[in-house]
Order: sequence, then C-alpha cells, then structure tokens
Amino acid sequence: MLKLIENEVNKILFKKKLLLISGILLVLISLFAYGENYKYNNTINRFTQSNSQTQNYDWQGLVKQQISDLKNRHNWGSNKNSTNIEIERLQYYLDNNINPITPNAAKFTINFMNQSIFLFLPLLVIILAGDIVSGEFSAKTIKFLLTRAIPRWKILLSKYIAIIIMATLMIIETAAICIIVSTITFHTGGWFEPVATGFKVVGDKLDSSNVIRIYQWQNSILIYSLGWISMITVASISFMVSVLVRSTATSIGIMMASLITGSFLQYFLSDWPLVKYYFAINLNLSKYLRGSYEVIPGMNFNFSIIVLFVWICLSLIVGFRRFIKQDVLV
Amino acid sequence: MKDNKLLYSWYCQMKKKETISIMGKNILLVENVTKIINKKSIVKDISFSINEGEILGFLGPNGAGKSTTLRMIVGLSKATSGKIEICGHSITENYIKAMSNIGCIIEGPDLYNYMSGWDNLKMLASMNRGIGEKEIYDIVELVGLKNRIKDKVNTYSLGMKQRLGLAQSLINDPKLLILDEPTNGLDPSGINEFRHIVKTLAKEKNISVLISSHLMSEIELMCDKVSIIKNGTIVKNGMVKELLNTKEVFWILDDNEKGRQILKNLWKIDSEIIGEKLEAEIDLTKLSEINNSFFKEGLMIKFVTNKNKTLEDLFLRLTDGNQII
Repeated sequence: MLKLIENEVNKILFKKKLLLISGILLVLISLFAYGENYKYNNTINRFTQSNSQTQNYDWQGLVKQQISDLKNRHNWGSNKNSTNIEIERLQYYLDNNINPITPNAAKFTINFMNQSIFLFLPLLVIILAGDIVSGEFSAKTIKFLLTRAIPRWKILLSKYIAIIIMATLMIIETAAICIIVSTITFHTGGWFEPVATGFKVVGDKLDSSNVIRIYQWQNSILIYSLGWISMITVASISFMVSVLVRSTATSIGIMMASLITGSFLQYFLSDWPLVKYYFAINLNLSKYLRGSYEVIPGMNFNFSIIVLFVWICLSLIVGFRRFIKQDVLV
Repeated sequence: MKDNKLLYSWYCQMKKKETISIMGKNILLVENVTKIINKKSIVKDISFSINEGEILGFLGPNGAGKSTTLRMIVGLSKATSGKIEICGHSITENYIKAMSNIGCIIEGPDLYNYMSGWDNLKMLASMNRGIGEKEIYDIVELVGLKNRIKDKVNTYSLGMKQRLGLAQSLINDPKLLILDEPTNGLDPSGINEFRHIVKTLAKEKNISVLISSHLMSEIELMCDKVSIIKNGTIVKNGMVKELLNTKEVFWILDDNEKGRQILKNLWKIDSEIIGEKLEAEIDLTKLSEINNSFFKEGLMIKFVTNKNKTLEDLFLRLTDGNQII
C-alpha cells in the first residue's frame, strides 16, 4: 500500500503541479506583504503630517488612554473576561514598546489564512486534485493500473491518500512562505503577543464568556489547522468529481463553479434555510473564532464541522462505488 | 535452523503440488460468456480455452466483440453472465490470484508519457513483490529497447511504445499473455522479431498467449489454435493445421483435358479445369503415382502443387457479408 501511495505522489510531483502552486503562492504572498507594508507606511506618513506638533507618532499615549477606558468599564459582568484580556494585550504593547498597528509576521500569516480559506486556497487545491483520476482516463493509462493483481479499491485509496498528502504539504508551504516573506518585509515576529479567541455569536449578541488568551503562535497553529480541515473537504469533493468525470477541464470547471456559487448563495439566497448545508458556505471556519456576524442564521462552528464531515463521507462513498463498479472502456 | 529447513521443504512441496494441479487444468477457460450493453448483446454465449504453452489467435472483423471479450477476461469490464477462469481462479471471485497470472496489452500501449520507459516499468513492477532491477533489465533486453529505455515515453515512436507495452506485460512473470493487436505500427522486421519473441516465450517458458490481430499471415505463422468471432458469436474454433489442411492439388499440363480424362477413367477422381489449372481433390500419398500415370500417357507436367488455403480465405469465407450490427 505504501508503495502505491509513493507511486501516486511521484506522479503528481513529476507533473510539476506542486511547483506551479508554490509559484502562485510565492507571487501572491509577496504582493500582499508589499501592499500591507505600503499601506502601513502611508498611514504613518499621513498621521505625522497632520500632527504638526510632533514628528513622532505618539502611540503610547493613545494606548494608555485605551487601557484606562477599559479599566473604568471593568464592572460589566459578561464582558469581564474579554476586557481583562484586552487590557493585558494593550499592556503587553506598552511593556514591550510595540506600536499596536504595526504589521508583523504573525498577524500577516494569520490574516492571509483568514482571507484565503474560503476561495483562494480551495482553488489551488482543486488544481492539485482535479485530475487525479480523470487524467488517467483521458491518457488511457488507467488500463495499466487496473490490470495488476491489486483490487480496485486499493488503487483508488492510494490516490486519495496522495492528494491528502499534497493538500497538507500545500498548507504547510503556505504557512512557510507567509512567515518567510512577512518576516523579511516587516522585520518583526510578534509570535508571543497575547490574543483573545473563542468569541461566539449567540443570537444577535457577541458572547465573550468563553474567550481565552493564547499566544499568536498558538493562534496561528489553530487557524491553519482549521484551514487544513477545509482543504481536506475541498480535496475530497474534487476527488469524487475527478472519478465521475472523464475530462480534467470539466472536473476543475465544475469544482470552481461550485466554489464560486457558494459566495453568491451566501448573499443572494440567505433566507433559504437549505443553503447552509452547502459545502462552500461552511468552508470559512476561522471566522467563527473571531465572532463575526452570521449572514445565515443557525450556522455555528459545530454545525459547519459536521456539514463538512458529512460532505467528505458522501464524496468518498460515491467516488469509490462508481470507480469499483464501472466498466473501463478506454 | 532446523525449523527453517523443514518449513522450506514443506513450502517447496506445496509449490510442486500447485504446479502439478495446474498442468491438468486449462490456463484460460471462457465458458458461456455473454455481455449485454444497453439491451444489446455485444457478446453472446462464447466459449473457448487455452492450455499451457499454446498460442491462440483470436480473429474477427471490426466490431465483432474481440476487445470486449478481452476486457472481460482481464477484469476491465464485467461479464453479464458466464464463467471466466485463469489457472482455475475465477476473475470475479478470486481477482487477485487470477490477475497475478496475467500480463496484457489492451488496445494500445498507453503508458505515462511524462516519465521515462524505465521509470514506467519500475513503477509497475513495484506494485508486485520481488521483482528486482535485474529482471526488469532482462525484459528490456528481450524486447529490444536497451538503448532508449531511459528516455521519456513521449519521445518514443509507435514501434517503441509497442515494445514497451510488451515489456510491461511480462513484468510480473505471467502464465497467460493477452495481446490485443500487438503488432500495430511495427515495421516488417519488428513484426518478425515480435513473432520470434512470442514463440520463444510460449515454447521455452511455457507461457500461453492469446493474440487478437488482423494480420492473417502472422496469425498463421504464430498460432496453434484460432477462434474466429463474428457478431459476438464464435463461428470457428480449431487447430490451425487442421483448418488449413487441404487435399486439393492442381496441375498445369500441356493437355489439361487429357489429364482430366485420365483422372476420371484410371483413378475415378473428379476434377475441374479452371483457367489453365487442373484441380482435383486427391489422397496426397497417391500423388506420385498419379503423376507417373500422366507421364506414361505422354503428358508433360509443367506445374504441380498443393493448393494452399490461407487463413485469410477461411476468415473471409466465414465472415462474409460483414455487417457491423
């Protein structure tokens, strides 16, 4: 079995797909990092120009003001926890002499994942996984795989594991490129800043009772793991489409269309309750932790995880069943 | 150490028993196989078999169901009904054991274009156990690809791809080779070499071969048996020698009419004059005596020979009015 997986991974590597993906990631991340740096410098310049008295941007005063404001509001019950954490965070900035709005590697890395988890990274996964089976059919090489003394399900399983490995590699690569590029651009890490996470939206209110304080590096691992779960879902569905369809272009096209449909559905059909069961809408797992506003009611973190899991299982069942039963006529 | 020795000798005995039990069985047994696609019977109730070391030619016009049958034998398609057994193992129930005895090329040697021939073979070999680089190299030498094996497959000519296809079918040391139109695109010397390789494998290593082809002349030279299929049914099953055996002789004499009368009066044999030939069906052992009697009557024999029936004649006759249903 291991040998089969090794063969499949080698085939993907031979086709230089991972290289292409790495190239795209590198270009895009570099552009974003440059853009963010540019924006930050602009903000500083604008501020110093308007503040004609001092040449320096006096952020320490601002932060001290914010802390005292928070301490005065300390008395409210349910927000006590999050307020404490916010105070701690601002104090950290003061203690370590860090300007809160300065971009750093940790914030950039996490932000990149937050922004790309629902559309950009899935597109890359689709490119990787889209032709794992349909490519073998169109090149007719599937005949050689299926006339060995190996049952069909093993062959298909090795292909599935190969794309899971590839998707995981891609996530790790995204993190690595983000960290490297942003550290070079911003020169600061920020990995040990405290940050609050665990906000929930209950009804229309922000529930901060279960908020905990973690470091940024822990936060980044958390966010990237959620990204991994989303990518595995996209990879599994891509895999199923690749089994059902004979041409690679159709396979990638169908997946991309389904992904983009998700964005539309979210805004145009938000009143239709069935929409929340669609996989593309549930891909954005990291937003739940930030406590952002829900467009479609009834969706929360547990719900999305379960929906994604069901989609994975269904895709695998359909894919395997079709592959094992069909007559190979190429 | 002693335990190991006992275990080893027991293992050898088991292997021997396995080989002996195979000798009695057919290597390939196809019984009453039918395939229905979209309510049309592509293959209707066909049966044939191959024994060890035999070469079977599978012939038929285009659309007769040859490829469909071959696909069913190797498990790419599923038969609607019937039994297919390789070395006694059913392809549907004992897939792994059945397939481990087969090497095949089905409709073209499509291998991974972006990898080299050597990488392709290594990859396919790694799916079986115990096949080392030496064995792969021997097979590469056998098919004649030694010089180009490390080049990418998309630089190969069709002939080279066919040789590579043959190589991959031999990788797992099979007892049955299934070759679907394997000489497509080979030049005459390639076809000759191919024939030589296949015959050597069959006789020396006792490998059974099932070849489907359109080249009648090649099938005639290579195969021991033929099965001719038309419209999904087998119209002829038999040994090549028997099918082509003929007792027809023809002469070209200086007076054919006189020769005809001699045959009728002296030998009681009916004969025909077609063009410049005098044709008759005779017992070949009496040929020299008949010739002698012609000479005695003063006739000159310009030409006498055994009328050769070719496989092509037989094939065309059996499959005339070829309509692809």
